Amino acid sequence: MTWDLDAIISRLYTKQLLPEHTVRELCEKVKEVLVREGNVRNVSPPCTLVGDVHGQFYDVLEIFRIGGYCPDTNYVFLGDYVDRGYYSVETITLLACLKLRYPDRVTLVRGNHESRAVTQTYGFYTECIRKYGNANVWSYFTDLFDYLVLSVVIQDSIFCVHGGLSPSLHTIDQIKVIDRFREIPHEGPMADLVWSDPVSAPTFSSVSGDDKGDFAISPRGAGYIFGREVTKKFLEVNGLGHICRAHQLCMEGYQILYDDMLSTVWSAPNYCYRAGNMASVLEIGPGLERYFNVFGPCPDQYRETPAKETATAAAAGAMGTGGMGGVAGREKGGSLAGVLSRDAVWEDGDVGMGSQAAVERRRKMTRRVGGMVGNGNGGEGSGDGVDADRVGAGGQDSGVVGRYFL
Amino acid sequence: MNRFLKSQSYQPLGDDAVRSTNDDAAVSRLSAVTLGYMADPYIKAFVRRLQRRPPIINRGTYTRSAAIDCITAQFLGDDPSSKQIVSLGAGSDTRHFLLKSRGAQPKRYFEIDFPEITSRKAQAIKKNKELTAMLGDHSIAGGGTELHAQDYFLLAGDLRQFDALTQRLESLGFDKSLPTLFLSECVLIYLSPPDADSIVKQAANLVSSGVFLTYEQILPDDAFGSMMLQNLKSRNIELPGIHAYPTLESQRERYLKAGWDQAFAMDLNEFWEGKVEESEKARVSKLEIFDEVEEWRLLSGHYCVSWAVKGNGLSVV
Repeated sequence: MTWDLDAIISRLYTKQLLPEHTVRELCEKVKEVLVREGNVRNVSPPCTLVGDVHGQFYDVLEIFRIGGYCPDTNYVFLGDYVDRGYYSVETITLLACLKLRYPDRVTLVRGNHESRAVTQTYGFYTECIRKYGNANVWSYFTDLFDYLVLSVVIQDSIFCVHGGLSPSLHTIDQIKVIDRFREIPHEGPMADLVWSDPVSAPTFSSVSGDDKGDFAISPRGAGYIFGREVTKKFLEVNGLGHICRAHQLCMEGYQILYDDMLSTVWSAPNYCYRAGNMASVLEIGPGLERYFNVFGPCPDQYRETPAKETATAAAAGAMGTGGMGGVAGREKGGSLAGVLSRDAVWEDGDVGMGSQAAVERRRKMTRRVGGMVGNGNGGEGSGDGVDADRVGAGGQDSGVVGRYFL
Repeated sequence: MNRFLKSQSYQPLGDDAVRSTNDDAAVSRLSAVTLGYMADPYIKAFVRRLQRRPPIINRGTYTRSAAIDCITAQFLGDDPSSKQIVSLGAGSDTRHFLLKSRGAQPKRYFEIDFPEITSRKAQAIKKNKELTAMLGDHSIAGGGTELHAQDYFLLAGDLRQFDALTQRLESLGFDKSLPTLFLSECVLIYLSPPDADSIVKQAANLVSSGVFLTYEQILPDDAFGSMMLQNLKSRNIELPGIHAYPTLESQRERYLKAGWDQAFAMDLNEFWEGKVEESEKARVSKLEIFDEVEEWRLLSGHYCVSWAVKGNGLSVV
């Protein structure tokens, strides 16, 4: 089998899914690249830092449009590639391929969502089951996640990590000796790097009054919150000038704290298609100049919804499992192929029951001729008939259903 | 209801769209209950299929339920049997059955909703042995759209004709002299402000003492709020009331101008932070991985409980 990475990447930019065996090979090859990278990867400017993207594929394309395509721009992605958005699979597949194709121009840092437990709660697992019919792709990627680096230092000056600092890690050297090739533990330095947050009133002001403070318990239930003094000390001890991280939603797309000692970059606009926020990428110039390039969501006319695609794909018989189980696609122009009965739809309750139960249920799906799929009665059908792009349990729900309180 | 293939883009409109919100809420409730956020053995009778909501929604459903339960419990106090509850747009609410299972039910519990909703609810209750047993002596009325028991009344009606409804209440034993809780759990906001105001005012005039309790959305004008309205609009759900009472302050005002004596309001983020006990917060936090703290603050901050008190002897703070 020929492995034409450029051809694969072109397909990925059009949001096509790769076959399962290709994903497996891709992950194996990317692991071979990542295994040679240290926990703290050194990167030279100019480069662009990207925060959480959470499966918002069209907005990732928007990032490339405004920030420049690989390899013209060097990118450092700070994690949280999957969960919550509708296209976690397409997103991580594209980024993994870009890493493989341009290993020196793309850096992939691990986020707290690059984890087996979290992806089972927040949508990536469900999406893999829905798009591939089994959990293999999920396990290939979650195995790959174990290899992602933990942090980056740009020209000995800017320290980049997904979450934040750890009471167990005072020096960069201490980060270097962590054994990172494993699932993110519940606690300890590796967990802290991907889960911690800087205190910034009013976000956590109810938890810990001042932003001067030392490490304190985090409302996230993992990692810590930390303040100005801790940040200053880390920078001084390690001879660094700035910390850049992601992990926290910023309504304006970014946030600068502690007199510019630390900043947060957030790259998922209108997060969860609900938050109404702006996003940004942080462009680092050759002289370490920092510029937050702010952008909004990809315009609707460039954005497909899964419902539209489902009808198309199903009608074309593209998916062996007979259309998208779990996505209440609307019928396309008279063809019955894309129409699933209400009862045939993906059961959110299957998450956590193991993929086998889910696969069994899908095998029993029947198609009801002429039936209209769940149209607005969230409790009855697959979700609602309008934004019928239901992604599944824990992560997203279709359009409005299960996204607000009504 | 018929759901034939009317058009490629059929979606419920108008009242149908409003009615559909009940299913959404019921599914969310069952999701939270199933995951252990709260106990409610009855909600599954009203939901066709279990769907799991994201953690942020489960927490929000829990908080909504806790807030309403808290104020309701304060209203009922030690002597629920001398009180009444009128639940507007009750939908698949299970509160009567939950109270009754603890022997804490009020003297009379009235639920009002569209006949499409009440007939389904009546059928679901009748199909369920446990619920039917809890009803005691009862009769079906209104061609299957209503259920009349001794202490529970499921009525079909349109809240936009509230004066007709108050007359029906009285014909069924509603006692104006008893302290009464009027509950609008995400209901008034779907009505035009004049219709909603009329209900709040009529309720004040109807009883000598009582509480009016509302749970609904606020803050339409910030980025999150505008996106929410846009998203809901794509499902033909409008919130006419949100611009009339967009803030906690205006929520309090709505009652005072309608004749209620005291008024209070709190957003759900405040309720979670300040009113849910630490041990309970810890219990709830452990139920699922929860990685959406900022989003939680944003979402829960756009919902409030507001309540008004009239008359003496009621301590609801």
